[in-house]
Amino acid sequence: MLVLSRKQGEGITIGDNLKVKILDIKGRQVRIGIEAPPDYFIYREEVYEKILVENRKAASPDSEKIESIVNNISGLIQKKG
Amino acid sequence: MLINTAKFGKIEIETERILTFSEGIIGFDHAKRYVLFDMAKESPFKWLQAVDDPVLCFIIIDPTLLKPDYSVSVSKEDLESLQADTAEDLGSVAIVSVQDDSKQLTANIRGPLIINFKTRRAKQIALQDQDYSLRHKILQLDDASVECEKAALNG
Repeated sequence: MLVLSRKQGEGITIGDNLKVKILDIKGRQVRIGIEAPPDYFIYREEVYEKILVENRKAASPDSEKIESIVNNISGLIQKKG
Repeated sequence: MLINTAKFGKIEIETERILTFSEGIIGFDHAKRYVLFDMAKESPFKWLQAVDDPVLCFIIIDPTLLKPDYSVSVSKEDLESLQADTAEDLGSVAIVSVQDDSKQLTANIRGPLIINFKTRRAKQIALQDQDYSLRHKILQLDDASVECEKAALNG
């Protein structure tokens, strides 16, 4: 891993399209500004990892099984809604 | 256009129906285009089928059916990437999954898919709201509790 020291107000450029700036440092928390093209995923790491796990689990489900489950309960959820 | 899918075979879809996730869905950035299919008549669940990957699909549901007061806050950057003028142009859906050896059906209402139905642009976002779960329980799937849940939902 490349490690750089930066002060408040300083930044880092990655490739042609990515800019990271240290906006503010308060105690143990750092505010970071990121400029990136709109087709880049930018998430807090811990949330990203969790969503990734859930997405992988949800993708391309065993369709007969899940279809029979959801068809059975469809009416119930509509009533609830 | 004609698309190839593992689930529905080869099917013709109107290109206007295609939803474009310019970043893909997290973990599946190879697939940018999807199309929605109804699962069964009047079912709240739908299939989200990838256009460019025949095998890739998700089951989704309107999160407000699970949590009537569900609301998402969308950042200015998200509005821009969805090409939306206001948040009112947007709708959200949650990805459904089966957990723990088929014991539970859940919906990810923490990381919803936000869709601009006008421009057909979409993206998955991560909400900060701790009240919204990655595994919002829809239903317990062992037989006894399905009955309980049915009773609870009907009541």
